[in-house]
Amino acid sequence: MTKFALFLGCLIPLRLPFIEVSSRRVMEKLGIELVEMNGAGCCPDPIGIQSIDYKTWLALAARNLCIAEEMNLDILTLCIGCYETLKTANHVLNNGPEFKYEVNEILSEVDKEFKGNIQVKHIIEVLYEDIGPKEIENQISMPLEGLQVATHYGCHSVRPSEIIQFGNPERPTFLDELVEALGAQSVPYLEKMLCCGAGLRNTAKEKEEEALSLAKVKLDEIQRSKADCMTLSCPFCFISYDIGQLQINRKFKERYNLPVFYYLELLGLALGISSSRLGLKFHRSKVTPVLKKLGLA
Amino acid sequence: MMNFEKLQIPIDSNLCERCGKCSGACPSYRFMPEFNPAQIVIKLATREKEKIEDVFMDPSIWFCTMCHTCLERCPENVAPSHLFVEVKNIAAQQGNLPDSLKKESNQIIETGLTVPISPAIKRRRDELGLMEFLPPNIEEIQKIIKKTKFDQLVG
Repeated sequence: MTKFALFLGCLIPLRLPFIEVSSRRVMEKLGIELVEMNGAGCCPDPIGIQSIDYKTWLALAARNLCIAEEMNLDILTLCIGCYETLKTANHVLNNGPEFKYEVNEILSEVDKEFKGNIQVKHIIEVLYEDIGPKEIENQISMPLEGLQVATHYGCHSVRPSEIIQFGNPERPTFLDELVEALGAQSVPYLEKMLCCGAGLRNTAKEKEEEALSLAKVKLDEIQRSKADCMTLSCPFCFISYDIGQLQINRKFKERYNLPVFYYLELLGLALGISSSRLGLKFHRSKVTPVLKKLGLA
Repeated sequence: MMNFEKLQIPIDSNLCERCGKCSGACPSYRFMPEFNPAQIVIKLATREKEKIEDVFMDPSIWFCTMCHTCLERCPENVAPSHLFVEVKNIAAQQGNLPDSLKKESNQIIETGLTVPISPAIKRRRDELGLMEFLPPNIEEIQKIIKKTKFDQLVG
């Protein structure tokens, strides 16, 4: 059985726990064991904390990496922000002896030492590389036939490519392949690689309208593409389009009504896990039209 | 590659070709013209103290979403998004740091997390059949923060 150290982060377990539920239930069904990381903290945030103090950001990330090193397991993250932080820190510490020296000096305060003997993977990377779209296609029992899906990658799932080294940084296809493995169709649309704007929500609170405008550009294009729903794999992006959609409707007097799914939720449905066991009722964007189309509601 | 001891700023004045691809690729520039990546890079490349100080005090440097599209498209290896991390590190030391980030930082210093563990979320996790959320080892996190003096920076 393949095993990973599960890095939960903050946002999923403490704001969007239904994403944690789907991920755990699906991975169990696919025979992947997830082991808890005792004592792990915030990754920390790759946008805010890295921008304030690179050294603290790297040291706190290294402490999380050390926990997995002690478990002798590669890390699996559910969030693309955590992925960016932990994968970048791992890369920087493995390739920069001066960083490793300085960070280990800081870590000696807590009797830890970064060694550099594990890898960091995002759950989508594990699904695509360790399991593969073909195997997923074989495993599903309830193909999502007829479902038109707009995929949203999330900036840090592919960039900076020098560090992430997974998929094309501007024209990736892995998520589209994973959607089609479920029997659904990935629909092409404009602005597919546009940032969701989540970074702005934290670092520039006064620019809320601009952040919402950014998300709105994508919603407009997805609406034009006639997709039934969108899918993504990051809790920050999820909030931008799920709760964000309600904020956009209020602010710009619009009536968007696009169901938004974390990819593992669609995979869960295709594996025959019920929508109630996936906690889909906790979405702010209503998922019922999709469940109806699939004959599940 | 970022190097917090040997800063790249001021950058080499010949490095940027002024092609403008970074600004063309920037989602923030699209809605906030006051944040113009190419202009920031060009200011840093002037090597003029006053212009560089201007960049550090400019609130718009915090408008970068860190999508890293500029870094992918830059033909000259300026790596704007990484360069801006360096700019913001220096800006923070000079007191140009948004309140929302101070708040987030202090949340991490106090709890090791960016989101509080509320009674409501405990109930929601329970309802979903999830195990109790394991809190971080806050002693370790606070020791690291004390060592890097992060608490003083964001205090």
